[in-house]
Amino acid sequence: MSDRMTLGQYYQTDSVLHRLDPRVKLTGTIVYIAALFVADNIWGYLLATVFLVTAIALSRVPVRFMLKGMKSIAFLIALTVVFNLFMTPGDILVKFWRLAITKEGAILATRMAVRLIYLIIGSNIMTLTTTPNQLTDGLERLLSPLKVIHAPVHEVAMMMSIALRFIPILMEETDKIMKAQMARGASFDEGGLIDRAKSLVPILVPLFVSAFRRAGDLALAMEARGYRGGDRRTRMKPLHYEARDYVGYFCLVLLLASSIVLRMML
Amino acid sequence: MAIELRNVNYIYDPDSTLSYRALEDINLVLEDGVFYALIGHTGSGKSTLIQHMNGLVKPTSGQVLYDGKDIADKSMDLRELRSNVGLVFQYPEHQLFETTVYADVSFGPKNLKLSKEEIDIRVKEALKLAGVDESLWEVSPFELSGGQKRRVAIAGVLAMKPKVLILDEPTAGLDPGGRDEILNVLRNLHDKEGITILLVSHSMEDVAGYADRIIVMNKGRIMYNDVPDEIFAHAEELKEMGLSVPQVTSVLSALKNKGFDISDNITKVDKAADEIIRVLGLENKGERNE
Repeated sequence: MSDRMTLGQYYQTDSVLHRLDPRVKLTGTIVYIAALFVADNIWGYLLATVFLVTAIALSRVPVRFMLKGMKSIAFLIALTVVFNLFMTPGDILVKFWRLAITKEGAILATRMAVRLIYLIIGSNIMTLTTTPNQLTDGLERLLSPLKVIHAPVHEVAMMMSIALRFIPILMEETDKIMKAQMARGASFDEGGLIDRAKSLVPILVPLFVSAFRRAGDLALAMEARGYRGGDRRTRMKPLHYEARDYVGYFCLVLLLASSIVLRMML
Repeated sequence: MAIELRNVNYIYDPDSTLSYRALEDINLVLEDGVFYALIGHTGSGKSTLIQHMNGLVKPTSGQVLYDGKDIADKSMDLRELRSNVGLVFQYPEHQLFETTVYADVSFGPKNLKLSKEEIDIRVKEALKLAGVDESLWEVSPFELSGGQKRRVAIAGVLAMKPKVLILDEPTAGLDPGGRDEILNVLRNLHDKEGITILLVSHSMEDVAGYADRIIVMNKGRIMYNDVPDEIFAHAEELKEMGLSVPQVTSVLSALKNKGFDISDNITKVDKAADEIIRVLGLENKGERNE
């Protein structure tokens, strides 16, 4: 069953975006977000839209996967929209009772909503096309200049990739433990708050025990294979740029430059 | 009849691209008081199948009946079902959580809301049945050895007083001594307590000497459901499914292939020895007559 579980939310397929170097994708996401916040007129947003639609098309990931994270932040978006709509002073468009919608408020609310939605879709594209391992590898390489000031870049990246790797394992483990306790007559949706909290003990204790056991096993296995931190460690799949990665960087420079120009000119 | 499965199908994640058919058209009846073994290669659907039997997993289509009652029925008390059909998962010692062995075993009966006296009786009985020494009852379960932990975990299910006991690979990761202890506990439960047992395993060697009937699964389907001797007559087919017959059985079939007039559907070492002596005895006599 374990091999059927997806790691993170990576969507397995083959596309230009999947093959792109993770460093390009990480930088790309940051540049894209920057461009979103630089944009202050319709042309800036149009540019971001073109970039986003192109990325979606290139990724070959079904659009419904990109909208996945949307539900959980729908509330946040709604809240932002409502506050901006009613709290912004300016020319009054509609007024009922004490609440007034201003022209400035309407524009600001739309802008915020578009920004948030674009932001989520954009970062979803990155995590959908990049495996967690690639992501941490890319992050490590991007941040490697920080090693000069003795920041534990490799260790942090290793911890991140282990944590990500363990999420599906622990989820499966939780499912197993829950079922095993249910087989012993446990139920997790009965009684008041205190009863429910108490009913979690038979799950949490074994889960923690198992997490510690797995951590110990993993540390032992890593040491047995000579792991001693990042020093002098070579990689099986070293990251190196291909022609398409330079094309990617070029597009990003273009995106950032055009959105700055669009803001200044118009 | 204790448990019956009718045309059960189970599909994982039916709506996603990862959708995967784990069980295909399963029809199976488990009779009371029989010692069953369920055998299949990793990924053949054994674990999914047994989780249907106490309602932890609901079939995508088809019916699961306990004592003739559909367990999907609203009137079915799932807690009662789970006390009647005890399920011991793989590596059950990973589910121990209490501070003492005694407290952990009492978790099940407590969930059944029994009286204190009844809980006490059941816990002690279960611990004795599972062969957990009385000196360990007040010890923390985390201080025990692997084999002891596993017997405590099995006692935790036995304390529910199941009429049917299903165990998923109960001997996995144990040394031969621990393995035999567990299997003997099971045989005892079956012979003396009359509990119906379904032992899930991927090793024929383990189950050959214990099971009355063997159910063989492959790729989500039931391939055979028969007495051991009949099952092992299909040595070739079993090999294709990644299963092996017990070593004595393959020795006998090798002898048969070499031209000995010997029966090759024997699964126990002592019976095999008798058979070889019989065949050799006949041949010795033949030589003397010449």
